[in-house]
Amino acid sequence: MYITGPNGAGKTTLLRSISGLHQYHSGDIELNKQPLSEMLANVLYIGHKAGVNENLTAIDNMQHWLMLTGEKANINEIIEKIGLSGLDNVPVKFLSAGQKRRVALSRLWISTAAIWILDEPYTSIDAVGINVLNQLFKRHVDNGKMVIVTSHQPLPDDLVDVNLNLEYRF
Amino acid sequence: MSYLDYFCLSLKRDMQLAATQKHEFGLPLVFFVLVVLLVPLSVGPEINLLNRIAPAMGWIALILSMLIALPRMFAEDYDNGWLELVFISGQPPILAVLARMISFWLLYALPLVLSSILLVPFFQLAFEYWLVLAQTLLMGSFLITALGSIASALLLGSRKGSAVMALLVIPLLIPALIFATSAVDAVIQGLPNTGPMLMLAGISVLSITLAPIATEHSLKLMMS
Amino acid sequence: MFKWLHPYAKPENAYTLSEKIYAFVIPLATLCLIVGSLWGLLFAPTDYQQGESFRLIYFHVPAAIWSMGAYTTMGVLGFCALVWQIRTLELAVIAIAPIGAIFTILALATGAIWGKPMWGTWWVWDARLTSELILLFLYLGVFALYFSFDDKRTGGKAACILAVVGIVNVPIIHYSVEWWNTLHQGATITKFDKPSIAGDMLWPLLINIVGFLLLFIALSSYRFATELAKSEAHRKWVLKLVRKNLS
Repeated sequence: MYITGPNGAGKTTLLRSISGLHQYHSGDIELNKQPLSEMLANVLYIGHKAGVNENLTAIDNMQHWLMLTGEKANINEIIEKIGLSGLDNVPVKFLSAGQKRRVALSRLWISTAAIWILDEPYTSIDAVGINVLNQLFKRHVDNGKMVIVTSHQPLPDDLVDVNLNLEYRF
Repeated sequence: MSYLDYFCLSLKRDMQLAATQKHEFGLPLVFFVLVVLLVPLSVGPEINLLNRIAPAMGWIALILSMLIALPRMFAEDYDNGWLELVFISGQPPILAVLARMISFWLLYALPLVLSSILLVPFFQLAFEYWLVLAQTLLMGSFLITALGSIASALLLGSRKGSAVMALLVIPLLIPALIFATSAVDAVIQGLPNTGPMLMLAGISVLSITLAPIATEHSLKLMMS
Repeated sequence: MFKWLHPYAKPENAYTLSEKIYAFVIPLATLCLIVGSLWGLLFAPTDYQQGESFRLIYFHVPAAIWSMGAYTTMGVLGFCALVWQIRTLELAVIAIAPIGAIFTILALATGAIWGKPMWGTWWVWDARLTSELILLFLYLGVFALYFSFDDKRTGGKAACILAVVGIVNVPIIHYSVEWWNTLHQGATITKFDKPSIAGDMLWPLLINIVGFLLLFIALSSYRFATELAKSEAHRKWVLKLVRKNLS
């Protein structure tokens, strides 16, 4: 699912509502007739603020995420996949913007959640990285799972099932 | 993963974070000593007077130095989005809140309580009186941490800093201050001090019990 | 009871209700205050010990009572607002805060003026004055917190949380200060403590206490209505209301 819309249309608010961070005024959020708030363990949300502590190394950050969700993963392998081998013992604050974003997005490889909710995942990622991400999304969707993405960048057509365009209204 | 495991891991993470910013923890301590230093310089080095106001000064210095440290309790985790992850992880967020309060107390409050030993040489406070004072400061530090965690959470979204923090926390600390100083005074006058001590302990226990709930609620509010 | 109350959680109905309350209560409040004050200031007998200055009691005591009453109301409303997620009640908390603060200031000022002839100084660390002063800071805290947020919605909720935390503490503060006072001053100052008051002096006091209560209700409902209209300024019912008032 691909959500577009101008600045201030409410993309981030919508995503935060779905992931249970925003208390919305009215309505319900359901998946297969069940309120989504009861299965938050199946939701992975990566927003603008991704929960990366800049004073820690990429490895430490990943270990903390694993602690939070109780999942297991091979951290070294993931470090390699996101192209940060050799930089894994450097505190994140010394990395470039794109590399920081990669650290944040590494949760996509860790997570076993069925629903990915990603707010502007492509920000400061280079062309190669975008390709990798798109492939990852494709595999996830092909496995019968769900990705909800907002972006100002056009996504390849074969990836998008639903395009939801939010309008700015007061 | 059991709740206890989660709690311990949260605590471990807090300690790991603290280890990366060791210099941060010295500042409230230095501030504490500075406040204590100002007193003899402003009221004069007359030892009888200093001796009499030593317990009160210990308490005022503790409150002020804690106020310096309190805004930092949740700020970093709020800014980088970690708190959001904690709240949607499916684990009860109150465990993480409690872990943070404990680590804050260990890292900031406990050193301050211990450093009140400086009042013994500086103000010639007798050691046995200091022991009583330290007990009250210990209970007070629990209380300040508990009330401060609510205020610290409430002020996350506002960026108004420590002036508002003082306005929120200090009025609520007045009962503790009253009971603590009179507990020490009672000992100095050779009277039993069980009454005020128990009152102080009661207030502390009450706020430690209720504060995590209020803090969790406030944090949730700040993120929505 | 909740079934009956529920329609009033809707801003529009709450607005109409509070307008009605204001219109109904304000004449009563004025009447009570005029009768009570005139009776108290002009016709009540002079106190043989304190002379004419005792007449400040007719303002000091009602203001002090309802400054505490306002905080309690605020805390209870704040609690309900948080538990049942009622937005209109958050606005009620914000509406009450300044009125309570003004009552507190009034109680402090009259207390200080009364203290001058009685104790020879403007300020004495008397238990009641001290608790009133702390109460003022509690009010200021609620204010400061509300205004430190750009998003008034969040600010309102934060203020509610603080009001609830405060209400738990108010009795503790009150009794600890009382205890502190007896500890340090002995029972020297008991003149504020329930002087056994003669009937002729008591009646105007009671009327003024009721008058202050009515004034508090009237002012809060007026401010509440204003806050409601302000926060819903872009809704249709407010626009309708404005048009109706203009034409």
